[in-house]
Amino acid sequence: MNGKPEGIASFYERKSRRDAVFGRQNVDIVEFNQEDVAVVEVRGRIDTTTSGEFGERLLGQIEAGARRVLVDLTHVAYISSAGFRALLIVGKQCEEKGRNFGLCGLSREVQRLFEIGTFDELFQIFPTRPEAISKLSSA
Amino acid sequence: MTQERFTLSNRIESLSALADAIEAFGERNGLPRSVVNDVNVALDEHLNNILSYAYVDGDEHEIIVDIETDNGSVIVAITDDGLAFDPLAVPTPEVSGSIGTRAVGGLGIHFIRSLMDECRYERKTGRNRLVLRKKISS
Repeated sequence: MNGKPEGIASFYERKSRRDAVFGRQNVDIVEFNQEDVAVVEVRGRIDTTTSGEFGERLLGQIEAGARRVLVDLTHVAYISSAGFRALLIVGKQCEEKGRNFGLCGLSREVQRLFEIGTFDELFQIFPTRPEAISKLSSA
Repeated sequence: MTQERFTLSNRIESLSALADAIEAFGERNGLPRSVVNDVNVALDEHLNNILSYAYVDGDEHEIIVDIETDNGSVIVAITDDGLAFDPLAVPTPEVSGSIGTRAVGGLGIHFIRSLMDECRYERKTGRNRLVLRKKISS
Protein backbone atom coordinates (compact mmCIF):
# COMPACT_ATOMS: atom_id res chain seq x y z
CA MET A 1 0.00 0.00 0.00
CA ASN A 2 2.33 2.73 -1.17
CA GLY A 3 2.18 5.45 -3.77
CA LYS A 4 5.19 4.29 -5.77
CA PRO A 5 4.48 3.74 -9.45
CA GLU A 6 4.80 0.09 -10.35
CA GLY A 7 6.16 -1.36 -13.56
CA ILE A 8 4.09 -3.40 -15.98
CA ALA A 9 5.87 -6.59 -14.96
CA SER A 10 5.07 -6.12 -11.29
CA PHE A 11 1.48 -5.23 -12.15
CA TYR A 12 1.00 -8.55 -13.91
CA GLU A 13 2.89 -10.44 -11.23
CA ARG A 14 0.60 -8.98 -8.57
CA LYS A 15 -2.50 -9.51 -10.69
CA SER A 16 -1.73 -13.14 -11.47
CA ARG A 17 -0.97 -13.75 -7.79
CA ARG A 18 -4.32 -12.20 -6.93
CA ASP A 19 -6.11 -14.19 -9.64
CA ALA A 20 -4.57 -17.35 -8.25
CA VAL A 21 -5.78 -16.50 -4.76
CA PHE A 22 -9.18 -15.01 -5.49
CA GLY A 23 -10.25 -16.60 -8.77
CA ARG A 24 -11.58 -14.78 -11.81
CA GLN A 25 -14.57 -12.53 -12.20
CA ASN A 26 -16.52 -11.86 -15.37
CA VAL A 27 -17.52 -8.58 -16.91
CA ASP A 28 -20.00 -8.09 -19.74
CA ILE A 29 -17.71 -7.57 -22.74
CA VAL A 30 -18.77 -8.04 -26.36
CA GLU A 31 -16.22 -8.10 -29.20
CA PHE A 32 -16.97 -7.77 -32.90
CA ASN A 33 -15.47 -6.35 -36.09
CA GLN A 34 -16.93 -3.33 -37.80
CA GLU A 35 -15.31 -1.96 -40.97
CA ASP A 36 -11.90 -3.40 -40.17
CA VAL A 37 -12.01 -2.11 -36.59
CA ALA A 38 -12.08 -4.53 -33.65
CA VAL A 39 -14.77 -3.09 -31.38
CA VAL A 40 -14.77 -4.03 -27.69
CA GLU A 41 -18.04 -3.00 -26.04
CA VAL A 42 -18.12 -3.04 -22.25
CA ARG A 43 -21.14 -2.90 -19.96
CA GLY A 44 -21.09 -2.16 -16.23
CA ARG A 45 -18.19 -1.11 -14.06
CA ILE A 46 -14.50 -1.30 -14.89
CA ASP A 47 -12.96 -1.69 -11.45
CA THR A 48 -10.75 -3.93 -9.32
CA THR A 49 -13.06 -6.89 -9.92
CA THR A 50 -13.38 -6.59 -13.69
CA SER A 51 -10.21 -4.84 -14.88
CA GLY A 52 -8.24 -8.09 -15.26
CA GLU A 53 -10.76 -9.56 -17.68
CA PHE A 54 -11.10 -6.19 -19.47
CA GLY A 55 -7.33 -5.85 -19.99
CA GLU A 56 -6.91 -9.43 -21.13
CA ARG A 57 -9.69 -9.17 -23.70
CA LEU A 58 -8.05 -6.04 -25.16
CA LEU A 59 -4.59 -7.61 -25.17
CA GLY A 60 -6.20 -10.65 -26.82
CA GLN A 61 -7.30 -8.45 -29.72
CA ILE A 62 -3.77 -7.12 -30.14
CA GLU A 63 -2.28 -10.62 -29.97
CA ALA A 64 -4.84 -11.78 -32.54
CA GLY A 65 -3.43 -9.13 -34.89
CA ALA A 66 -6.13 -6.42 -34.77
CA ARG A 67 -4.67 -3.29 -36.44
CA ARG A 68 -7.37 -0.98 -35.09
CA VAL A 69 -8.99 -1.43 -31.70
CA LEU A 70 -11.91 0.63 -30.38
CA VAL A 71 -13.28 0.43 -26.83
CA ASP A 72 -16.92 1.52 -26.64
CA LEU A 73 -17.63 2.84 -23.13
CA THR A 74 -21.22 3.98 -23.77
CA HIS A 75 -22.62 1.55 -21.19
CA VAL A 76 -19.87 1.93 -18.59
CA ALA A 77 -20.87 3.57 -15.30
CA TYR A 78 -17.32 4.27 -14.13
CA ILE A 79 -13.67 3.30 -14.43
CA SER A 80 -11.50 3.10 -11.33
CA SER A 81 -7.70 3.32 -11.42
CA ALA A 82 -7.47 -0.48 -11.83
CA GLY A 83 -9.29 -0.06 -15.15
CA PHE A 84 -7.08 2.85 -16.19
CA ARG A 85 -4.01 0.72 -15.45
CA ALA A 86 -5.36 -1.86 -17.89
CA LEU A 87 -6.03 0.84 -20.52
CA LEU A 88 -2.54 2.24 -20.06
CA ILE A 89 -0.95 -1.18 -20.54
CA VAL A 90 -3.00 -1.75 -23.69
CA GLY A 91 -2.19 1.74 -24.97
CA LYS A 92 1.53 1.13 -24.48
CA GLN A 93 1.30 -2.20 -26.31
CA CYS A 94 -0.51 -0.52 -29.21
CA GLU A 95 2.11 2.19 -29.43
CA GLU A 96 4.96 -0.33 -29.41
CA LYS A 97 3.34 -2.51 -32.04
CA GLY A 98 2.07 0.35 -34.22
CA ARG A 99 -1.62 -0.42 -33.69
CA ASN A 100 -4.33 2.21 -33.75
CA PHE A 101 -6.24 2.40 -30.45
CA GLY A 102 -9.23 4.57 -29.56
CA LEU A 103 -12.11 5.01 -27.14
CA CYS A 104 -15.65 6.28 -27.63
CA GLY A 105 -18.96 6.85 -25.86
CA LEU A 106 -17.65 8.44 -22.65
CA SER A 107 -20.42 9.78 -20.43
CA ARG A 108 -19.75 13.12 -18.74
CA GLU A 109 -18.85 11.28 -15.54
CA VAL A 110 -16.49 8.85 -17.24
CA GLN A 111 -14.93 11.79 -19.12
CA ARG A 112 -14.30 13.48 -15.74
CA LEU A 113 -12.48 10.36 -14.48
CA PHE A 114 -10.25 10.47 -17.57
CA GLU A 115 -9.52 14.14 -16.79
CA ILE A 116 -8.68 13.47 -13.11
CA GLY A 117 -5.96 11.05 -14.20
CA THR A 118 -5.14 13.20 -17.30
CA PHE A 119 -5.81 10.10 -19.37
CA ASP A 120 -7.83 12.24 -21.78
CA GLU A 121 -4.48 13.50 -23.11
CA LEU A 122 -3.11 10.01 -23.67
CA PHE A 123 -5.78 8.36 -25.78
CA GLN A 124 -7.70 9.08 -28.96
CA ILE A 125 -11.22 9.76 -27.70
CA PHE A 126 -14.20 10.04 -30.06
CA PRO A 127 -17.73 11.15 -29.15
CA THR A 128 -19.58 8.35 -30.95
CA ARG A 129 -18.89 4.92 -32.35
CA PRO A 130 -19.64 5.85 -36.01
CA GLU A 131 -17.22 8.77 -35.79
CA ALA A 132 -14.57 6.56 -34.18
CA ILE A 133 -14.97 3.82 -36.80
CA SER A 134 -14.73 6.35 -39.61
CA LYS A 135 -11.56 7.99 -38.22
CA LEU A 136 -9.84 4.77 -37.18
CA SER A 137 -10.56 2.88 -40.38
CA SER A 138 -9.25 5.70 -42.57
CA ALA A 139 -6.01 5.92 -40.62
CA MET B 1 -30.25 10.54 8.53
CA THR B 2 -29.98 7.02 7.12
CA GLN B 3 -27.23 4.71 8.23
CA GLU B 4 -26.15 1.26 7.05
CA ARG B 5 -23.27 -1.09 7.75
CA PHE B 6 -21.75 -3.60 5.36
CA THR B 7 -19.27 -6.19 6.56
CA LEU B 8 -17.07 -7.83 3.97
CA SER B 9 -14.21 -10.29 3.97
CA ASN B 10 -10.81 -9.43 2.51
CA ARG B 11 -11.57 -11.26 -0.73
CA ILE B 12 -11.93 -9.71 -4.16
CA GLU B 13 -15.35 -11.36 -4.56
CA SER B 14 -16.69 -9.05 -1.83
CA LEU B 15 -16.15 -5.94 -3.91
CA SER B 16 -18.85 -6.31 -6.57
CA ALA B 17 -21.46 -7.22 -3.93
CA LEU B 18 -20.49 -4.08 -2.00
CA ALA B 19 -20.76 -1.92 -5.15
CA ASP B 20 -24.25 -3.39 -5.73
CA ALA B 21 -25.20 -2.67 -2.11
CA ILE B 22 -23.98 0.94 -2.37
CA GLU B 23 -26.06 1.38 -5.55
CA ALA B 24 -29.10 0.00 -3.73
CA PHE B 25 -28.43 2.36 -0.80
CA GLY B 26 -28.28 5.24 -3.27
CA GLU B 27 -31.57 4.27 -4.87
CA ARG B 28 -33.33 3.87 -1.51
CA ASN B 29 -32.13 7.31 -0.45
CA GLY B 30 -32.67 9.08 -3.78
CA LEU B 31 -28.98 9.92 -4.23
CA PRO B 32 -27.81 11.22 -7.63
CA ARG B 33 -26.17 8.53 -9.76
CA SER B 34 -22.99 10.62 -10.04
CA VAL B 35 -22.62 10.71 -6.24
CA VAL B 36 -23.12 6.93 -5.96
CA ASN B 37 -20.58 6.32 -8.75
CA ASP B 38 -17.99 8.58 -7.10
CA VAL B 39 -18.45 6.81 -3.76
CA ASN B 40 -18.08 3.44 -5.49
CA VAL B 41 -14.89 4.51 -7.27
CA ALA B 42 -13.40 5.80 -3.99
CA LEU B 43 -14.37 2.54 -2.23
CA ASP B 44 -12.88 0.45 -5.03
CA GLU B 45 -9.60 2.38 -4.79
CA HIS B 46 -9.29 2.08 -1.03
CA LEU B 47 -10.42 -1.55 -0.81
CA ASN B 48 -8.09 -2.53 -3.66
CA ASN B 49 -5.21 -1.12 -1.60
CA ILE B 50 -6.38 -2.92 1.53
CA LEU B 51 -6.74 -6.27 -0.27
CA SER B 52 -3.38 -5.85 -2.00
CA TYR B 53 -1.22 -4.64 0.86
CA ALA B 54 -2.84 -4.54 4.31
CA TYR B 55 -2.80 -8.23 5.17
CA VAL B 56 0.33 -10.33 5.27
CA ASP B 57 -0.92 -13.35 7.25
CA GLY B 58 -3.10 -14.94 4.55
CA ASP B 59 -6.01 -15.19 7.02
CA GLU B 60 -9.56 -14.02 6.52
CA HIS B 61 -10.28 -10.55 7.90
CA GLU B 62 -13.35 -8.39 8.28
CA ILE B 63 -13.58 -4.99 6.65
CA ILE B 64 -16.41 -2.76 7.79
CA VAL B 65 -18.01 -0.14 5.55
CA ASP B 66 -20.40 2.30 7.23
CA ILE B 67 -22.41 4.61 5.01
CA GLU B 68 -24.79 7.37 6.02
CA THR B 69 -26.46 10.43 4.63
CA ASP B 70 -26.25 13.44 6.86
CA ASN B 71 -26.86 17.12 6.31
CA GLY B 72 -26.54 17.08 2.51
CA SER B 73 -23.58 14.71 2.41
CA VAL B 74 -22.85 11.01 2.10
CA ILE B 75 -20.32 9.86 4.67
CA VAL B 76 -18.49 6.57 4.22
CA ALA B 77 -16.16 5.07 6.82
CA ILE B 78 -13.94 2.09 5.99
CA THR B 79 -12.42 0.23 8.94
CA ASP B 80 -9.84 -2.56 8.61
CA ASP B 81 -7.50 -4.37 10.97
CA GLY B 82 -4.60 -4.52 8.51
CA LEU B 83 -1.14 -2.99 8.72
CA ALA B 84 -1.13 0.64 9.84
CA PHE B 85 -1.27 2.83 6.76
CA ASP B 86 -2.31 6.42 6.25
CA PRO B 87 -3.29 6.71 2.58
CA LEU B 88 -3.56 10.49 2.91
CA ALA B 89 0.16 10.72 3.67
CA VAL B 90 0.98 9.40 0.20
CA PRO B 91 2.15 12.17 -2.13
CA THR B 92 0.14 12.84 -5.30
CA PRO B 93 1.63 10.80 -8.13
CA GLU B 94 2.86 12.27 -11.40
CA VAL B 95 -0.13 12.47 -13.72
CA SER B 96 1.53 13.88 -16.79
CA GLY B 97 3.79 12.50 -19.50
CA SER B 98 3.37 10.48 -22.66
CA ILE B 99 1.85 7.03 -22.83
CA GLY B 100 5.34 5.52 -22.98
CA THR B 101 6.48 7.15 -19.74
CA ARG B 102 3.32 7.13 -17.60
CA ALA B 103 3.45 4.96 -14.49
CA VAL B 104 0.72 2.34 -14.24
CA GLY B 105 0.21 2.49 -10.48
CA GLY B 106 -0.24 4.78 -7.52
CA LEU B 107 -3.31 6.60 -8.79
CA GLY B 108 -5.90 5.28 -6.35
CA ILE B 109 -5.34 7.91 -3.66
CA HIS B 110 -5.37 10.64 -6.30
CA PHE B 111 -8.81 9.46 -7.43
CA ILE B 112 -10.12 9.35 -3.84
CA ARG B 113 -8.88 12.88 -3.08
CA SER B 114 -10.23 14.25 -6.35
CA LEU B 115 -13.69 12.68 -6.07
CA MET B 116 -14.41 13.25 -2.38
CA ASP B 117 -15.00 16.56 -0.62
CA GLU B 118 -13.26 15.50 2.58
CA CYS B 119 -10.95 12.62 3.59
CA ARG B 120 -9.84 11.83 7.14
CA TYR B 121 -7.68 8.99 8.46
CA GLU B 122 -7.16 7.67 11.96
CA ARG B 123 -5.44 4.68 13.51
CA LYS B 124 -7.16 3.51 16.67
CA THR B 125 -6.97 0.27 18.68
CA GLY B 126 -5.13 -1.59 15.93
CA ARG B 127 -7.49 -0.51 13.16
CA ASN B 128 -7.26 1.84 10.20
CA ARG B 129 -10.28 4.03 9.64
CA LEU B 130 -10.71 6.19 6.56
CA VAL B 131 -13.69 8.55 6.57
CA LEU B 132 -14.83 10.05 3.27
CA ARG B 133 -17.44 12.74 2.77
CA LYS B 134 -19.14 13.55 -0.52
CA LYS B 135 -21.57 16.44 -0.89
CA ILE B 136 -24.83 15.29 -2.41
CA SER B 137 -25.26 18.44 -4.50
CA SER B 138 -21.92 18.00 -6.28
